[in-house]
Amino acid sequence: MAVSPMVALSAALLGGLVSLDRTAFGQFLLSRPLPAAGLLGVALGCPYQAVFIGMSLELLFLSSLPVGSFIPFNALYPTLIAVTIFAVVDPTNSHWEVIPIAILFALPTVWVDRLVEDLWRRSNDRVVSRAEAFLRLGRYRTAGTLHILSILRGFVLNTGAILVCIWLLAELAALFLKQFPWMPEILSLVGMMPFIVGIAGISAAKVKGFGWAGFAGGLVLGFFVWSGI
Amino acid sequence: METRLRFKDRIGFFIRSLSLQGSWSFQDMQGMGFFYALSPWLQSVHGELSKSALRRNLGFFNANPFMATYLIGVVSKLEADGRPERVQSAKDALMGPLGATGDGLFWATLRPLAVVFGLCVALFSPFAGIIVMLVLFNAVSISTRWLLLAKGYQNADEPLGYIADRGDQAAISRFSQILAPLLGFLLGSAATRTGIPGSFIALYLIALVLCIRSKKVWPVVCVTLTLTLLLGMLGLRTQLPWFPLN
Repeated sequence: MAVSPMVALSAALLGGLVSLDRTAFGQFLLSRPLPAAGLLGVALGCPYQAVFIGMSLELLFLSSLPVGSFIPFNALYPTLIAVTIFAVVDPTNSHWEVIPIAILFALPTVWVDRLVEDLWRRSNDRVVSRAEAFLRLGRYRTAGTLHILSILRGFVLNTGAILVCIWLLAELAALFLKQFPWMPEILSLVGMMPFIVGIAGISAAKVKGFGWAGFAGGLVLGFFVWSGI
Repeated sequence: METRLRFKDRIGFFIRSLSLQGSWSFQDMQGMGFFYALSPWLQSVHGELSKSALRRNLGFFNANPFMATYLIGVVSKLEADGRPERVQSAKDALMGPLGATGDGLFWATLRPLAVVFGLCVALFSPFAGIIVMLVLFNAVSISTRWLLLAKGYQNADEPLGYIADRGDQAAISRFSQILAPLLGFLLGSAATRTGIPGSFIALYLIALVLCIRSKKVWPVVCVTLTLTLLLGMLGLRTQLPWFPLN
């Protein structure tokens, strides 16, 4: 098994906790890729690589806005899973060229992320109906408890989903790198790192109605590509 | 009744308002969260929650989570003053403007600004970047939540007037304009220090800005893809102060 239960569980628990920040509690931006990656990176012992993953995904999902009832693509799952894949397949933290592969494997989980959020919101319809029934009976505390339990259910749902995704994708990525060990070398030769950030920069530049944000995204990209301080 | 919200009540509202979307549903949206934030206050004001108080404060509610505290302040004052007949009309009148203003201000302006600013700092010091991003966003969002509670309570008689008079969004938009020159400065510094001919960067940036200004996405994609691919082929690697390649 490529990923140890301890690593998978710690990543999933952190993910479950941080995912609450997305909708259910606070909205302090802790669920954005950069802080989430930094936290998990410290926990798994690869802080700098994790921050790099967080920066790439942050730019890639800059234009996802949670307006009204719309559930945007959120980069929390891909971030946590990419960081875990990197930590698992490269325990020495010396092969930065594994990062694009980790991101590539983790990226499809944006759909899982959205699905879980949708599932949680739909299940809340029943919670609200029950809470209203309790309120009509004068049981205010029970209704309040249901509201809090709904937040806890979000934590459990997200933790479970992240755990399953990590197990599946880390195994898959490890298997892939075992079959194609030359892939990171090729990526290293063609300099895939700036390329990945380049794609992220394009996404940032696509932010609708906010030229400045796109401009800034492009500038960060340019800085990334050219800097050699 | 007091004209100012007591600190103890304000703290209670504030903490409960953090879970405004805790049971977000397609049916009532933030309705349950709004009621949860108000319920201790309603109980303290009315003693026992009547069916009419439930009807007024339960049900559909949707506003920006950071600005919804204004409406919590307004409704708490109306309930405390014994003017419950105005609660529904205040909710109906304020939900839309608070949602539109708040989403524009926080999600579409402040969040990208904080993120990009954090990314810039992260180039030099990754963890400082994360802190800058979080502090920048949360300093504004938390203080807005806190201040609007009191403002809602104070302006319960004319709640729309206060929101209409605010120039906060314009101020934030103006503030966001300093971002591009700042980033330009950063880029210029990097170019100077690395000795890479500035003309390449200038060309690249001019193309990018022109494409963004004309709001055409595909040219941006083409320019950026070509350049990054070319640079990638040439083997230029990303080098950051904390990036141990080469």
